[in-house]
Parts: sequence; structure tokens; C-alpha cells
Amino acid sequence: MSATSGSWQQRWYWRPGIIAVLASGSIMVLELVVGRIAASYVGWSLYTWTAIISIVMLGISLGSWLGGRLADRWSSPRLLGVLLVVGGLLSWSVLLVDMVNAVAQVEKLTQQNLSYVAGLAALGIALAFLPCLALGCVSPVVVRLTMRNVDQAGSTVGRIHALETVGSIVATFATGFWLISAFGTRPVVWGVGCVLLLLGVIILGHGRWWAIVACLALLVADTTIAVQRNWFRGPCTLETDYYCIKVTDETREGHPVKVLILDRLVHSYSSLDDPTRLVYSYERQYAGATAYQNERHNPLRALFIGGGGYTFPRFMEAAYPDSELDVIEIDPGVTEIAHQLLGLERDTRIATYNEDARMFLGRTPNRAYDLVFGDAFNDFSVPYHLTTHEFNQQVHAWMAPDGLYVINMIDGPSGELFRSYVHTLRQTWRHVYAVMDVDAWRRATRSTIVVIASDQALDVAALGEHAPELAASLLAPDVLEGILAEDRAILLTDRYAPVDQLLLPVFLDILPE
Amino acid sequence: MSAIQEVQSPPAVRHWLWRPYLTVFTSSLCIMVLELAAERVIAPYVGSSLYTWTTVIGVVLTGISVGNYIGGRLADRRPSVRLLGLIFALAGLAALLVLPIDALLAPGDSGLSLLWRVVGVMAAMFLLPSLVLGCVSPLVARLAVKDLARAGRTVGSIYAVATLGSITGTVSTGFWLIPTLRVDWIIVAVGGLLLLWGLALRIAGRTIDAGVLR
Repeated sequence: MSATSGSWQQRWYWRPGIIAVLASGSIMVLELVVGRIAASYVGWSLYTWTAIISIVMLGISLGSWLGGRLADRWSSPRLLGVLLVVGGLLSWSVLLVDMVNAVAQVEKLTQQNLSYVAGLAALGIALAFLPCLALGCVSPVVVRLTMRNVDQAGSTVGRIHALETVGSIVATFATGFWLISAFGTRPVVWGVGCVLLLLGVIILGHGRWWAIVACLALLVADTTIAVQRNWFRGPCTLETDYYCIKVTDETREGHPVKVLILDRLVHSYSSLDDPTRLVYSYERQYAGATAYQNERHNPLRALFIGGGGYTFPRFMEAAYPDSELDVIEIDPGVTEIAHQLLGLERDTRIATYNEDARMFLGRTPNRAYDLVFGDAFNDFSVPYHLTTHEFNQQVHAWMAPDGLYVINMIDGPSGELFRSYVHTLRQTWRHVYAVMDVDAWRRATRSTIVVIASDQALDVAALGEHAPELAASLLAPDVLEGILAEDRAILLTDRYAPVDQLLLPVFLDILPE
Repeated sequence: MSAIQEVQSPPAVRHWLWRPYLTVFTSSLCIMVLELAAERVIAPYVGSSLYTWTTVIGVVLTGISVGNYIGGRLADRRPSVRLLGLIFALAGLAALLVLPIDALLAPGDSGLSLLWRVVGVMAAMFLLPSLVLGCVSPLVARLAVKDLARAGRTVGSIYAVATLGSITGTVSTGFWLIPTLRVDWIIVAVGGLLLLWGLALRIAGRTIDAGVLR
């Protein structure tokens, strides 16, 4: 009853399920890898994700439509072979953005020329469209080649669609949890291209062994050359599931320092020989808050939300030898790099917990911290779940009655996130202070602001004595009230925290200039 | 050959509620709205990280996958618009159940390891709605495919429209819904829309089925 449309359906290589799984899995691998590549230029944010998901889906969508038309015109496995070969070759194109960057040698420009960086990210995302278009064609072609009659349309479509989804799930988990951190983005993309190419050649060559051997030989030769030329390493010191971590050397104020760059953001400067040397001004404010708190608590207990380069934990370890120091750092890779390159001793007294802060602080409190430092907010990627009222309540439960919660954040002159964040903190702590230079903040597109929350009012006289720099830039209460009254402030909750939108002015101000 | 089949295939029935493309567009849109909302619902339990996203995507895709399979079997056994209405209504109910389940699970600091807690919480809330919504596309494909010669085109177009629905769901949730509405209201709105549409299809289905399948 079924059409005898050729003996190829009995051939060993005709495995529609495997083809569907590999094609859809490849799309998901590319999607996540392109996400990593784009994030290394502009950081993780809702915008990065939305752009990538949209472009990939657009490719799949147009591919499905195109593939359906092609399948009705040429319903033969050769079409499938061509699509797979083309998809394999095009999937390599997502690496072009790295090539463009390498050729232009603009690594050094990442801080100055932001529109160029944004352009690279957009290019990377846009390049994902092409392989997804080709691979999106595969699904309707497989359905058409498998379907024998209309009565089976539902189960044929359902079965193949289900297999494709299984491919997507496996690829998502494998890429997110294993492939990127184990191999890095370049080898993964290379591997995807190789698999698709080989599959396409098998189908086009009707499963002849010499075609397979020739293709394999070519791919192995190319891989060997790429490995020999060190091409797979890429620009990162270490590539993890979270960041492309780079460590470089610089000289600051006449001293050599190690610079930790997470994706494109210079995260910290560490001095190997003198941990008490602090380069960033917000870290000197942190030091001020520590000196102030040291007057009333000895030994100090401090918690760091976000480890970064471990600059400040190392400062406290050296300056306050009795202190108890706990660090929550989500990325074990960052901790490892700090051990290897940034002077964090293996036998350090600093205890690290590699998990999300919500997990750590969600447990029943068994310590009371005198100081909690928030260092998890970057410029474009603020983890919204660490800004909410519910999270603040958790932090509060882990603090001593007169403990200080000290956070650094980035916002522009419109202060939308700043106002909402302070408003939210005020629901939990009786006193909230801001440390900033208002005039500079008004003029810059983005500034770092240090916010301090506590249940006990700061003793201004003691602050002036032990932390003069902090006392000098502490906003007077009426000035802070004035800024807060300028526009609306949203109470950030787990149910409603539009943090990315509040940061939109920062994002927009940066990119067009 | 295809011309003969086209002559033999029945004329398309027109009913204002039977819109195959709009149907798959809506179901895909709702899946993505729920998926993005899901991340916001479970982040308080486990944080928001790569693992949270992977779990969200994994659970939703698993639901869709199983749904696709079940939907395909159902579609060949009993292809009807009334069945489609039932599926939509069930999906709406499943989405409306998310918040009560969240309220039940919320306080627990259970003995489970955190990884299993994420997967468990996520699956308890969002596996069912994804699964039921996953049944939609093979059923619509079955109802829309009239002859084999054009099957590739029909299935391809349905995929394409479904993916456009997913894009619309993603972009509108990320850029508009989450900054505008509380996440629990978003979920209630999706559930209500699905439930109402399902009931309408169920009621109108008798007339439509008489025309579509004869």
C-alpha cells in the first residue's frame, strides 16, 4: 500500500529519527554557544537572551516553511543530504565574529569602543540565523519522506516532533552543563559542523564507504591542523558555563596588578604581593565600612555575595587576621582562577560556597554577620532575584542586629534602578545610605554607587574618624530624599522585578556612543 | 496524481473559530510565556543561574516532547476540533493550577538535595501545562493535512507559524509582560485565555467537525 519510492528507505543509513535528533540538537547547541559568544561581548542580560532566542526561532520558522515547499517538490533523501551539508558548513560561520575581532585586533578596545563591541555581539547573533535556516528545513523534509499516507499524518508529525524535542533537551543539558566548560565554544561549534557534514555526506553518497572514509579523513586532518595551530583555545584564560574569564597584567599606580575580566567587564584588580592595595574606589569604601564596623565587633564576621577576583576578601584576610570570611561565588571557575592566578592561597581562611546566593541564604541562619558585601551586580546583567524584598529579608536574617549590608551597583543619571532598589531596601532595614558623588553621577552615563543598609543609624562622628573617605562621600539624608522623590520607585519583589527595564537607560546610553 | 487527490480532497470548511494557524500560534505563544514566567516563579527557590534556565528549558521541552507523541496518537485515532477544544481547556486548567501548587510548595525546606528540589518544583508546576500544550501541533497538523502530496508544505507552514508564535511569546514576555505585570497575573491570564478558547472550540466543535471531517 505504501509507495515504492525507491530502495533507499531500506538502506542502513536511512534513520529519520537520528537525522531529526541531530539536526534539532545542533540548533540548540548553536543557540547556547552563540549566547556564550554574545555574552562575552555584552554580558548576560534579558536583551542578549531575547535577541538570540528570537533569531534562532526566526531561522527555524523560515526554514520550516522553506523546507516544506522543498520537500513537496523534491521528496528525495538527496535534498536532506544537501541541507545537512549546507547546515554543517554554515554552522561554522558563527565563529566568524571571533575571526573579525581577531583580525581587527581590537581586544584592547573593549572598554573604549562600546558600539564596536555591541556590533560584534549583534553580528554573532545574526550569524546564527543562517545555520538555523538550513537546519530548520530538515524537519518537514524528514516528515515528508517518512509519511506514507494522510491517515498517519498526526502520528508521523507527533513522533518526529517528539524525537526532535528529545534531541533539543539532550543538547541543551549537554551544552549547558558539560560541553562548553569541558571543551570551549570553538571545539563545540567545530564538532557540530563535523557531525552534520558527515551525516550529509553519508546520505549523499548513498552510504558508500569510500565517501565516508574520505570525509572522515578530511575532517580529521583539519581538526589536527586546528589543534596544532592552537586555534581551539580562543581568547579566554578559562571558559566556564558562566563566563569567558580572562586574566591580564597591568601596572596601576606604579605597581603590577592582575586584572580579572569576566566577559567584557573588568571585574577586579589584584595585587599579588600586597593584598591590602585596593584599586577600585568602591573597594576603598568597603574598607571604610570594615574599619568602622571593626570598632564594635572583634573578630569580624563577613559574608561576600559574589567573589569576583577575591580582592576584598583577601584584603580582609590580611588586614583583619581574626576575621571569619565566607564567600558565595556561583562560578567554581572564578574561584579556581583566583587560586591559580590572583593570589588566593590554597590554605586560605576564606571559605567559599560555589552556589547561588538564594540557595545559601535560603537555609536556616546559623551565623550572624557583622558585614555583608554585595558584589554580584554587573552593569548590564543584574541578577534580579538578588534585588528583591524577599531576598533582602533572607540577608537580614543572617545579619547581626547592627550589621551593615554594603552593596555596589551601577546606574546612570536617571537613577531608575537606584531609586527602586533603595525603596525596596527600606522595607527591610531602618536606615539606608548612599555613597556617591552626585555631580559626577549626573554627568556620566554610568556610575558606581555604594549603598549601605542597617538597622542602626551610622555614627557619623565615628565614621569620620575611622573611614574619612567614606564619611566624605556619604549623601546627606535630605539630598538622598531629594533624589528618591525625583521619580517613581518600584517595590522590587519576586513577583515583579523589572530590573533589566530599569537599567535600560544605562544600556542605551552606552551603546550608541 | 496530486491534482486528482486535490480534487478528491474535501473543500475547506470555514468557521470563524477554526483557524489552524492561529491555533498553533496561540499554543506556542502560551508555552513560551509560561516558560519565561516559570523562571521567575522558581528563582526564589533556587536562584537564577544557568542551572535554573537549563531546568526550565529541560522540563518544558520534556513536556512538549511527550505531548507531541501523545497528541500524534490521539490525532490519528480521533481527529476532531472538539478534542482540540478539550486539550486547550485542560491546558488552561493546568496553567491555573501552577499558583496553588506554588503556594503549597513555597515554605518547604525539604530534605531533598537542591538540584532535585529545582527539578521537582519545576516539574510539579510546569510539566503538565507544557505536556498538554504539546499535544496541539500534531493534532492541528492532522486536521489541516488534506493530502500527502502537499503534506510537506502544510506541516512546514504549521511549524513556521508555531515558531512565530514562540518568538512573539518570548519577545512580548521579556520586553512587555514581565516589566508590566506581576508574574502570577501573567500566568492567570494565560490560563484564562486557554480555558476560554478551549471551551469555545469544544462548543463550536460539533459543527466544525461535521464539516472538516466529512
